[in-house]
Amino acid sequence: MSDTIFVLTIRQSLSIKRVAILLILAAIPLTIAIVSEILNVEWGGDEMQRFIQALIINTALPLVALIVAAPVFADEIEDRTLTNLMLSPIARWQVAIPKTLAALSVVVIPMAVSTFASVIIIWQEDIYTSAIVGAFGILIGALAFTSLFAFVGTLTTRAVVFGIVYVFGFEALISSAIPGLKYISISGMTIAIMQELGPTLVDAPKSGSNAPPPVEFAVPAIIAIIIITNLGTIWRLKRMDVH
Amino acid sequence: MQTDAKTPRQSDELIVSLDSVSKWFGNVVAVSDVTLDIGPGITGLLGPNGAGKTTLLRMICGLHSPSEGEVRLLGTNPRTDHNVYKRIGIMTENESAYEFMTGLEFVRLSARLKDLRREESHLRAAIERVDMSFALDRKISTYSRGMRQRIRLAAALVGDPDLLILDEPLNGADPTQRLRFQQILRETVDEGRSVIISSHILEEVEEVSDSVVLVVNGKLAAQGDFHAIRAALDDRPYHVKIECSDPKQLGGELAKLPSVQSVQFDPDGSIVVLTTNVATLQLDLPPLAQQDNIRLTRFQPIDDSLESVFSYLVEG
Repeated sequence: MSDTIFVLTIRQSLSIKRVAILLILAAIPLTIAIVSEILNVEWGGDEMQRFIQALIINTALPLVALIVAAPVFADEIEDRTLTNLMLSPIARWQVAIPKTLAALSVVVIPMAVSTFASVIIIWQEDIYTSAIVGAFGILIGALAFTSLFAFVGTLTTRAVVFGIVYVFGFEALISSAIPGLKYISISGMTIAIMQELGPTLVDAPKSGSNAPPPVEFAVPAIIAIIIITNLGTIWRLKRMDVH
Repeated sequence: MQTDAKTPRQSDELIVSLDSVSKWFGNVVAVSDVTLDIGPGITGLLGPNGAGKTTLLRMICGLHSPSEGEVRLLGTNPRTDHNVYKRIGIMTENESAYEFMTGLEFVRLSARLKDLRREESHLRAAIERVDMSFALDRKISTYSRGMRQRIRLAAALVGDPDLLILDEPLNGADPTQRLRFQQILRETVDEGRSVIISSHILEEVEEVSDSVVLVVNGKLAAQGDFHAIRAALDDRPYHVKIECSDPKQLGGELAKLPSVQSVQFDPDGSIVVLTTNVATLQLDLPPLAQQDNIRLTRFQPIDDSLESVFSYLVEG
């Protein structure tokens, strides 16, 4: 039954419009890397790290996660198709987890491939280690973002609006402008973990508003976000009145 | 097909039990202090639009939690015991189906969600039963309203459930489909299953229901044998709206029928017939249209008078 819901969600997520947006966003880093290679652009260390942090982790990844994960439940509620799942002999966690994992798969595959390939093209040292760390960071960040946006989709059918405000307002702007807010930023936590695993890939400042939290905080915090949001999704499915 | 001793009809199991159930949304009370038991057979849940039927059915199905009171479905709480859905086929009021799927895929999904890895022949048989074989490989997005209802009924029938719960299933059905639908319900009961069917139109369930539950303003107005309640309505004429390819021609023919009291033409091109017997009209209409080569697109009783009967029943 869980595989049925997983496959169903993959099919729902792969509408032509959504796939087009997803591929465009995922292709941006790779396109930049390919064009740089063709034009023989030399990347400085700071530029490469900004490329990873600002373009991929802070912007492209949360946007792709938002586009895929927010509608996973919100669209089912709005289209009233959720009744098909809720009137089945399936525990609510067996509805929630396969749907979130399906959304995660759709987010991770293009983003991880794009990041992995981009790093291989433009990095000058520790190429493969950096590429693997980059792809792993995508997986961790995507899991947290996907879980969060899927949960928000069970609370409101306007999850995409919430997500856009969150991605551009909080993750991209406010958390970078106000010291300390990176502690509650999924991007900040992801960067902290990537920095620990691959210092040549990410070398974020140790202090200032742009400094990510220490890895000792980031790891349990991102795990907590993943667990709490998924439990929240299951709780909502158990409690909600389905129309 | 299940006809063993566990079926509700044969075991006399209580299908639904509501104990002082209420439901409110903010300040709006949708269902108020309803206590009722529903036994095996076909039960019609009747009431005018906005009476609270859908909310009541949604609580019975477990889609809504009651604000107060307790709901038991086949002896269990559907909000916590999801295994009960293995024994139930449910067709909700809204046309909720995955648009990107074909009819066959949708029925297959329904089977798999019930953990039934049925052979394709079983799925096709369910589709055949609702006369949708001709469109089983077409996407649901291309279906008419009536076709959607039928494929959703096929999805509800798959797995041979002990109980069918159908919320306004005849919305969008043409006269032929209505008759076929009633035939399926009769077959379902003959096989030892039970059915709860809601409608705001008494005539829709008259032919098939053993007993009736009447709901008015969120309250239980009456419950019991259909014919006793129906007797109170016998003298009342009903309005029926008919849409077809040639209203003037069909209107002329309809006026000759003994069951028709008057015929009016609406500005929107439809015919409104005042009849003393909707069931007879429903049977007379298809051959009448066929003989004049007229295409019927809608047959909808506009049973506003039901509300006054409900009032009569509520006021005693």
